[in-house]
Amino acid sequence: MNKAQRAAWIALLLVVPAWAICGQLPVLLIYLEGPSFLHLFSFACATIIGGLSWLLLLLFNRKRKRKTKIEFDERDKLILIRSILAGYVVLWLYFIAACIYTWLTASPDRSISVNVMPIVIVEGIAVFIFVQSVTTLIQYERGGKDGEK
Amino acid sequence: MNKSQGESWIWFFLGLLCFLVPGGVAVFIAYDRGISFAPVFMFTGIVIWGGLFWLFPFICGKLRKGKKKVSFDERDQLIHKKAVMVAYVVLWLYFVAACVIAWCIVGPHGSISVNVMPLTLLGGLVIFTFVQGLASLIQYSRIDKGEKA
Repeated sequence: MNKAQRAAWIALLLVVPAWAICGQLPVLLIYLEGPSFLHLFSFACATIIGGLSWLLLLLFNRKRKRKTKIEFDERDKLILIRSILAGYVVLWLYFIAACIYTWLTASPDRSISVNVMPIVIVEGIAVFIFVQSVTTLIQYERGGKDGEK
Repeated sequence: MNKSQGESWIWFFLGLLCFLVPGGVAVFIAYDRGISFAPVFMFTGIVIWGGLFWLFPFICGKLRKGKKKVSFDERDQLIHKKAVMVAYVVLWLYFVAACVIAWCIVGPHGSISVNVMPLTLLGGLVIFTFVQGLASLIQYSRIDKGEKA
């Protein structure tokens, strides 16, 4: 099992449930205490970092590329990109499903709580990380023993 | 200008109108006449087709792999993948911004029309298409300059 596979397992078992449960915390805080700058800032930071954490991984490994010991090669990069794109496909379908569901449950002339939107986004991060981790593991599994480091 | 570059230009101008107008019409029909199969189907079709259209060149490329004439090579694939990822980054930031703005305008105890969610999704689709077309054009123009120099 290489580093990326370990990271995918950790994300699948720890990060996804943590996001699904604790991700609602900023939404709850804003609902209880009002939208202060600190609360909105923490929500924006958490969702941006949660949704774009793969970007940090790519940038970090690009910087480390100069070092002699290569831990993240072209194949790992290709797997990461493919899993990100798969994650985004499912995320897009999830957003569509959320929209259609709210449309069908509340008729079009009615209104919904403004907190529904951030909750959908926070849960979207959990969906994205879940799909990204699963596709990463599947791709490494397909690669077989040749892919092991 | 190669085929993919030409497609990027077409996408850049026509893509927006192709999704924004029919999508807006579907939301308006649902709002005006109540929820029914036709507007929901129309909206779902547009957002799935528009949001996942970027998969089309990859699928076509795989199907045409056996043919001699290559119109979508490795370089085009890389440019396309990068453009899609850039577009997804911007799309994510747009969704976070939409949530924070809605919170600030309405307040955490307020409510929004149920139509805001599909309209936000349509706006996201337009932004995604626009950024993807722009990123492709920038990458092609950079490569063209490099080739000339």
